[in-house]
Amino acid sequence: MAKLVRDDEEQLIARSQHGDGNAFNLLVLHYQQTTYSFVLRMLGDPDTAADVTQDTFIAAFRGVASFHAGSSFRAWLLRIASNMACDHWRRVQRRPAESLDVLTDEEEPHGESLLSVLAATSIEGNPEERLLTQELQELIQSGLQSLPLDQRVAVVLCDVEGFSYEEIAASTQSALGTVRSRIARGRARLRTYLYQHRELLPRPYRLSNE
Amino acid sequence: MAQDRHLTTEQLSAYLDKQLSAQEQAAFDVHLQSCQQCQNVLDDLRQTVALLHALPQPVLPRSFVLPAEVIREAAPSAPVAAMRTSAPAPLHIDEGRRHVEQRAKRRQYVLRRTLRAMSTIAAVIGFIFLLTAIPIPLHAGGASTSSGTSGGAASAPANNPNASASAQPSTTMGTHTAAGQNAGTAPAKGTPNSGPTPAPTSQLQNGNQHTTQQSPPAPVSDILQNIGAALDPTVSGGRALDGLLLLALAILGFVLSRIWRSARTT
Repeated sequence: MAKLVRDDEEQLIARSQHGDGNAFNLLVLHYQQTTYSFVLRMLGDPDTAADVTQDTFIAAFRGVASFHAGSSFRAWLLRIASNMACDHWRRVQRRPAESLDVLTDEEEPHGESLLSVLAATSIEGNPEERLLTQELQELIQSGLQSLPLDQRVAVVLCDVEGFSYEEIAASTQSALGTVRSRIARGRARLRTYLYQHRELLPRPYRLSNE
Repeated sequence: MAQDRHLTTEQLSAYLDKQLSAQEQAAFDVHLQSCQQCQNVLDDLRQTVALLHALPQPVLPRSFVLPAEVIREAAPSAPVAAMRTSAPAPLHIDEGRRHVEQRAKRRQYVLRRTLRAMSTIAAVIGFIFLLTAIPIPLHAGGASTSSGTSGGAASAPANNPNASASAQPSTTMGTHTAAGQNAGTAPAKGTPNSGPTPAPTSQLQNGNQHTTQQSPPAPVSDILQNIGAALDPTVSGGRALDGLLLLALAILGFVLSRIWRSARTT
């Protein structure tokens, strides 16, 4: 998606801060894909993600006056989205024990190159489409949902939405070192999850040299 | 190889994102070239990231553009200077609270409607009981014998089929005669009260007299039965008492719903 010219965005924000709903809706149009995608990866359910996304934009419009000109609007917006998604997750508490139980029972040795098989057959196998199979997408999604919320926010912002460490720090209101550590732990945990649930994948994606 | 010489997952993850200083980056390069274990961890991290990158962008289910009424409702009416102090965190709490309040209002509305409906039903049944109880005093005079008995016959099976159909005929006979006695004494007291509302009070007194008359012969165990008899809808006194109770309940219900509504609107 084309980036809004910075001046244009600042103008739209300034107009929104004076109650101009049309200006704000231009911002919605620009950021709705990122926001929805983030919330969906956080929560997994499309209907819930749509509701949380809508609530995020309503809350953002109400609070747009508190946005400080010059900082990242995207980071500010996704902070609201992240708060709302985490609130929703805590309220619903899906699969509360899974992340603790499943991941502590065995420590996988690294270097089995399972993921290279996964990545090779799924990504490089059809390079023109770069599509993952439905099963693999679902496995990754449930892996994300098994992460603790702080790690999930950091990993989704970094590796799905492509935020920089600085933007994630701004969005989560935490220090760079904290962001770095959350991303690393989230990635490692997700890797272990994928390894442990490899039998859920159809044959071609399983580790061949087991 | 010494454990502390290996790179941590965090270092490798940062290395992957080029979040290290040039010096660190170079040092890690050297280590990785000689250490297969760290190389493997790095490969796994890299491929995990590649899988996340390869997740397709989800299709938007709809547009999230705010409709005009939401804009009007949510527009920050307060001056910008005042709003600047508020953080975005409390805002979504406001939002959530609004939703919760709306849901609570809807639930209260349904409850209020139910309460009023039930009060109305109670009032109607109470009136029917009272109306069917009134002609009984006239029964002694013989003017409205047919209406009194037919009303009693009509209401008794509908409200208490067991009492009239199968349960002890002897006791119902007994209470009927007692009611007849009461009805006989009633005009002496009740003739000045010709209006419909005072009449039930006299009937209520009759009902009480009826129970006190019954209690001496059966002192302890039959009190419950006597209370049941006092409320027995097949008897005129009991029916009047039932009617009064139902009317009182109905009035209570209406008053409650009125208080509720005024409390809600203020």
